[in-house]
Parts: sequence; C-alpha cells; structure tokens
Amino acid sequence: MKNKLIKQILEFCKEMEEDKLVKLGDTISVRFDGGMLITSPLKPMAEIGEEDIVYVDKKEPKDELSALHLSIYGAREDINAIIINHAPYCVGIAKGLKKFPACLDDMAQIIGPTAKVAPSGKAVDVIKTLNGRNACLIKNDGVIATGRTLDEAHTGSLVLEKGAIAYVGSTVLGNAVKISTFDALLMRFIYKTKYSKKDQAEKQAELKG
Amino acid sequence: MTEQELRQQVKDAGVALLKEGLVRGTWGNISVRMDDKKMIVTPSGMDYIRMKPEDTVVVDIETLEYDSPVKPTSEKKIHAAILRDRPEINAVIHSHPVWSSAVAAARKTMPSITPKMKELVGEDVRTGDYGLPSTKKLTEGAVKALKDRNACFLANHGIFVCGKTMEEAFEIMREMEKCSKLYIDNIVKAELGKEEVDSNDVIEVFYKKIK
Repeated sequence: MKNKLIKQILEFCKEMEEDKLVKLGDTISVRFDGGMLITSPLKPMAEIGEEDIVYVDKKEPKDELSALHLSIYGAREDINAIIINHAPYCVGIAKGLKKFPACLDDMAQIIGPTAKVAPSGKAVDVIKTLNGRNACLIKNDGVIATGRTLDEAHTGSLVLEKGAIAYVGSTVLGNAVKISTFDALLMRFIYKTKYSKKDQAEKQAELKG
Repeated sequence: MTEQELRQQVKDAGVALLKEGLVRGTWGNISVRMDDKKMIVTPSGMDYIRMKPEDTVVVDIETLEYDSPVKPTSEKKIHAAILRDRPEINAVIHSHPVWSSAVAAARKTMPSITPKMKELVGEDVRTGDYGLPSTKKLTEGAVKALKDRNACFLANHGIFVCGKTMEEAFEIMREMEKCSKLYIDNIVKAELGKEEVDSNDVIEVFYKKIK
C-alpha cells in the first residue's frame, strides 16, 4: 500500500503544478501507519521524486508544517489526505475577507455553503475553521484542502479555486448570486451521503487492494 | 455512424474536455443523437478517463428508459429535452468550466463579444432559471434559454452547448469559455485602464466593487 500511496502522491504533485495551484513550500500528505507520508516543502511540486516523500510518525513531527498536518489527522478521523496550496484567487480572497459564499453548485456540494478563512496557520485556528468542512483558507496565506482520499482533496482544491473565481468574476460583472443556505446544505448532504460515498470507498479500496 | 462509433465519440469528447481544461473538479455530461428515438449519454458518476465507450448508455429520448446495468447521467432529462426541442441538433455537452461558471453565477445574458461567438451561438447567451440538479425547473429553464441559440448558462451551475455535430458542440464550448473570460477581463481592463490584465488585476477590481 505504501508504494501505491507514494505513486499516487507523485501523480497529484504533477497535477497540482499543472493546475497552477501551488508554489514552493506547498505540501501533500496522506495518513499512513499511525503517521503520514508527506512531500518535502523544499522542492517545487513538479520536481518531487520518491526520495522527497518521507514517513513522519504522529508523535515525532519534524517541523511546524508536519505538525500542522498531523494535528489535522489527529483532530479529524474522516480525513486521510491533505493538500496545502496557494491557488491564486483563493489567496486573493484570503487577504481581505473572513469567508466567501458558494455561488456554484459544485462548491456547495464539495466544500459547503461557505468557505471560511482561518485567522492564522496555527493548528488550533485551522482545525477550528475546518470544523464540519473539507477545506479552508488561511489569512494572508494559502489553502488547506482535505479529503477521504487524495483524489477528493485534489477535487476540493480545484472546486474551491473555481468557487473563488466564480465569486470574484460574478462580483466584477456586478451580480454575484449566492446559493441559499438551505439549497447548499441539501446539495452537500446528498453529495456526502449518496453521490460520492461509493466512489470514494472504491478509490480507498483500490489503494488497499 | 455506428452505435460503437458514437459511443467512442462520446468518450473521446469527454477526454478532450479534460485535456483542454474545460472540466474542472467535477465532470459534466455529454450526449449524441443515435436515431430519431434514442440518444447515447455518459454514465452517472464516472470520470472520463475511467469511462469506457461501452459504459455510455443508450436512452430513449421520449421516455428516458434505458436497458443497461450502468446508470446514465442524472442530467439525461435536460439532454433529452434539448434533443426533442431541436431536431437539427445532434450533440449536447454540459460542463462547468471556470469562466463560464463565473458568468453563470452572475445570472447574466452575455452578448456575443467575438464574431466567431456570434456565428457559432447567436446574438447573445442567456442564463436558464436556477433549479436544483435534475429538477423540472432546471430542465425547462435550459430549453427556454437555448431557444434559437447554441449555448446557454445554467444559473449557479455551468453551461450547456449544442451543435449539429460533436465537433461543432466542442468548438462552441471552447469559444464560450474563451469569451466568458474575455467578458470579465474587458470590465477589469476598462476599470484599470490597462490593455492586459492578470489575476491580481481582477482581484483588485473585485475589492473595489465590494467596498
């Protein structure tokens, strides 16, 4: 399973770079064997190789960044993968707002009725802001996207950035229409309980198989 | 074209959408008219890479019945309604590309801003009424917004395009995404008095607008 996870991490490192959502210092991790596998923040994601992915035990974080990943895994049993990124429109919103609303169905389904901005990148602030959500922004910094699988964390990264572009773009056009909280919560419930459950379970099984 | 060739065409269009960045995070759906009574559609909840041509589903355009263990897209109602309403149309693509989705979130009618867009889709592109996925309201809104046009936005959701051929529908999707970005960029250029703009400029104008 470890080799499959490493292979998958390498694939998503390339995808995140191609999606233009990352900068130097961003990291990807997956929960593994009482700890996690995490990429080095010292190389651009496009250049990450097998040797740049290390195992970190949950009791022995190497630095502040790995401690943040481990704290999220410790606080949230439902999370198995984390991507920290710097998607440009999310970064722009995180400079001046405390949250932004879902203006698109897929953001409501996958992220929730709003995306919140954590006041800092400290674990306590991030975990509090992530409560009940799969992703959050960090004030004057980037994005934390999580998922039951790495695939879901990647989709969350893409959908959150698209949601940010939709909110910014429709505001520029003079009319950002938010999805009502009722509709957003309904769509999120259906997504979590029906639409994505089988798909995510299959993807987790593939890694174990 | 044979049924097998049409199934392959649907699969190839899906992969091309992905490669050209016209799907982002979530997948959308595609249909092609097989004959007067049937259409071939993408399956539900399966990404275009994993999807095999045989995973596409033949669906009755009138009754929406299908004879397959694979479930067709949940948006089959809209595809069928468009094919029923527009006999000259043979291919329909629904997706959620980034900039088209941004215009859809503004629920605007976008004027044709390039000669190519005007030639491909008509005078302007309307937005269909907002409705939850798979609802009658969403279907009726899309069909109405598509009258005499080859593209429409779905409020807070994405975009539908249609064409006489899959190639034409794909070309329209490509042009709509380009023009949707241009539509927003043109406002930013006018606001800032610049000829070229990037994401920082768009965000600057966004903050001016919400002050």
